[in-house]
Amino acid sequence: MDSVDTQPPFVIAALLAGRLYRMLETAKTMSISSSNAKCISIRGGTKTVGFKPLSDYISDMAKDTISISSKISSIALQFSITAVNEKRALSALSDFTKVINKISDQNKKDSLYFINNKLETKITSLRQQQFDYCQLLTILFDDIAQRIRAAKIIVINSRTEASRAEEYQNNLFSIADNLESCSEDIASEIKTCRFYLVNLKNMIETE
Amino acid sequence: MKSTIIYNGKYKWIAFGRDPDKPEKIIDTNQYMVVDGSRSLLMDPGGIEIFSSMLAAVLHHTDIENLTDIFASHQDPDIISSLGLWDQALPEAKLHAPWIWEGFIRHFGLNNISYNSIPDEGQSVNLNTAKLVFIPAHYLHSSGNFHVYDPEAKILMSGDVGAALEPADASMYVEDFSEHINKMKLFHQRWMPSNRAKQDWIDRVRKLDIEYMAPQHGRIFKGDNVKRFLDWFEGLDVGIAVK
Repeated sequence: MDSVDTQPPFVIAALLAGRLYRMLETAKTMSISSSNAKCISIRGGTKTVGFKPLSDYISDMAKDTISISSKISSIALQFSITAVNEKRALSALSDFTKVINKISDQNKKDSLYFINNKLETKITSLRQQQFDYCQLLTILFDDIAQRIRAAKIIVINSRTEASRAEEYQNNLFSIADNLESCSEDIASEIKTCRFYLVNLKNMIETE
Repeated sequence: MKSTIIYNGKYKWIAFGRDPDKPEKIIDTNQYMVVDGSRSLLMDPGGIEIFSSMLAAVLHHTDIENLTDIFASHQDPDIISSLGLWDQALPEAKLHAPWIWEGFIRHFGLNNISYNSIPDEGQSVNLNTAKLVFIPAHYLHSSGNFHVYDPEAKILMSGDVGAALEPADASMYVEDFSEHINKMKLFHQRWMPSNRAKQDWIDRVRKLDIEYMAPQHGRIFKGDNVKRFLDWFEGLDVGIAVK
C-alpha cells in the first residue's frame, strides 16, 4: 500500500483514481468468468441448472462494479483537480497577503483585500466541493463493498452447485476459483481505497 | 487520459495523451513513461493543468514509490509547469533537464526533487534494465533541448520534432503520412528556428535504429513513416518569421 502519511490531498485523490483502474480490470475478468459460467450452465442443461442464477447474479454484479468503479475513478479525479485548484488559490492568497503586509497605502491595500476576499470565497467553495466528493465516494464504496460481500456468499453456493454438475464439475470449480480470487482482489482494493478516503476526510476536516 | 503501451519487452514504454479533462484552450500534449520495475522515467510530464489526470494515469501502470525519475526536454510550460506539484508528490525523485534551464525551471517550484543538469553533449541514464540516452536537440526548438533514445526498444522520444496540431480525439499513430503533413508544416516552420540545427539533428538521427518516433504533440511515427518524416523535415525551410 502506498504511504499517504506525507502526501497532500491532491496526490491521495489521484492515488485513489489510479487504484480504481485495478478494480476495474478485476471486475472485467469477473465479468468474463461469469459469461463462461453462463455458457457452461446452458450447455449442461439439467446438470448445471442450479448454476445459472448464480452466474447471472455474478455477471450483473461485475457489470455494476465496472460501472461504479468508473464513476468513483471519475469523481476521485475531479477531487484531485479541485484539490490542486485549492492549493493554487491558497498559494495566491499567501502571496497577496505578503504584498499587503509590505505596502502602506490604504487604497492599494483595499484593492488587494478585495482580491483576497474573492480567493477566500473560492477556497471555501473548493473545500465544500471536496467534502461533497468525500461523502459521495463513501456511499459508492459502501455500495461496492456490499455487493462484493454478497458475491462471496454466492461463490460459496456456486461450489455446491458445481459439485452436482457431473462432467462439468471441473470447469465450474475452476470458474468458482477465479470468481473467488476476483472477489478477494476487489475486497482488498476496496480496503486500500477506503484507507485513502479516510485519510482524505481527516485532512479536509482538519483544514 | 488515454494511455497506449508502445513497447512491452523487459520494460514498458507508455504514451499518455488525448486528455478529455483538460481545459479546452490549452494545447494537447503527449507524455511518455518507461516503467522498469522499481524505477520509472516520466518524460515531459506536462503542464500544471493536466497534473491530476496525468498522475492518476501514471498510477495505472506503476506505484508512486517506483516513479523515480523525471525528464524535461526543455523549459516550456506545457513540458514542465506541473513540476511544483510533482515536487510534492515525489520528493525523492530526480529531474533530468538541460543545464542551461536549471535556474529557469526552478521557477516552477523545486524544493525536494534533485536536479540533474544534462550537459550540452548529452548523457545516458540507466534504470534497472533500460539504458536510455539523452541526445542533443538544441534549437529544436529550445536553445537547450534533448530527446530520449532507447536503442533496445528502438524508440526516439523526439520532443517538439514531429509535433502536429490535432484535435483531442486524434489517433495516436500516423496513418497517412501525406495527409499528416498539413498538420505539422506550420508548427515546424514557425517553432523551429534554425535550418543548421535541423540538419545537424537529422544527420545524427539517421544513424540511429528507430522503429518509433514519439513527439510531444500529435501522433507517433512508426516504421517507414520515421524515414518519411526525416526526408520531409530535411526539405523544409524553418525559422520563417524572419523574412
